[in-house]
Amino acid sequence: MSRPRTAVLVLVAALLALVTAACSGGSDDGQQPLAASQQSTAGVVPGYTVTIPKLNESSQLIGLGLNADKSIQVPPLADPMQAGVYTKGPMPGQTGPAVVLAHINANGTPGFGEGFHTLAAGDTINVTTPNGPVRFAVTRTETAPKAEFPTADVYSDTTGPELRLITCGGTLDRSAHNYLGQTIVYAKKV
Amino acid sequence: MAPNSVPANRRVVPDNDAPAPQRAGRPAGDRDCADFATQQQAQQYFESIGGSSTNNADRLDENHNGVACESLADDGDDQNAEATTTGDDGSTAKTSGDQVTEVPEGSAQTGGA
Repeated sequence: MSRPRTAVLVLVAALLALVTAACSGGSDDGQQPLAASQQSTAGVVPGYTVTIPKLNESSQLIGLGLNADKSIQVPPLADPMQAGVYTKGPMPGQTGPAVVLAHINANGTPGFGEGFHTLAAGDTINVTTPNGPVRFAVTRTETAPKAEFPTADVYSDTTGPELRLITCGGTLDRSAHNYLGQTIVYAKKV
Repeated sequence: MAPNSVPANRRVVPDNDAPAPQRAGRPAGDRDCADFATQQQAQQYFESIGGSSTNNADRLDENHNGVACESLADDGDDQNAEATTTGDDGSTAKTSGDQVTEVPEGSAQTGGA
């Protein structure tokens, strides 16, 4: 490998390290961690497990509700590989948009949402449910600025069972140590 | 996960064999979400009578996800949270339909502070 390429790789690796730290809730970069009220304290919703073969990862789902400001709760930062499901909406396999949230990383370690941006149309997402396994296929993946979160696309009624995977992503605001966007994966039951 | 903890100053849901409050026009023991102070209490009762995602016991789980009475604050430490403003919250977000019973505002803090 040539020296210039090595240098580039080192630079990229350094940038990635910065990015992952920045989306971690700030435990190691001096930022304030997420307020406790933003992190769900609910337990696992029994019977549901999300598996993404392409990412070689699997998680049970904890229940996510709303914060006092009506923003959606997120899974605990203490367990970055824990995904959660918004319980004021349909569950995976039911008609409607089931919303699954995961951190892209936390506490310096990769989160369940780290690879969401790599999911492309046709990729499989499997969910075990109390009524049996349900297979979803990704229809599209988008990264939207947080200020322009596509609420209608994410939460509006659907004609069949659908899935939304949400994590942070997009452009990093270095000064704020924060991602400016959200990665949203749309999937439909197949 | 951690077991539900009920603060000492809150009403504790009686066990299933305890007499349930009676209301006119409803079968004995049939409760609704208004009978519970917290989601945890509703969940405890719901599961005690066999409720699950496939058994909407006492119709406490209208969306059949195994979680009872989501209209009650479910984080256990924010009992003042309003959960009944579907469709009239004046937010700029417009959604259609009611599959999602309460649409969150804005983005999710899945990273960053």
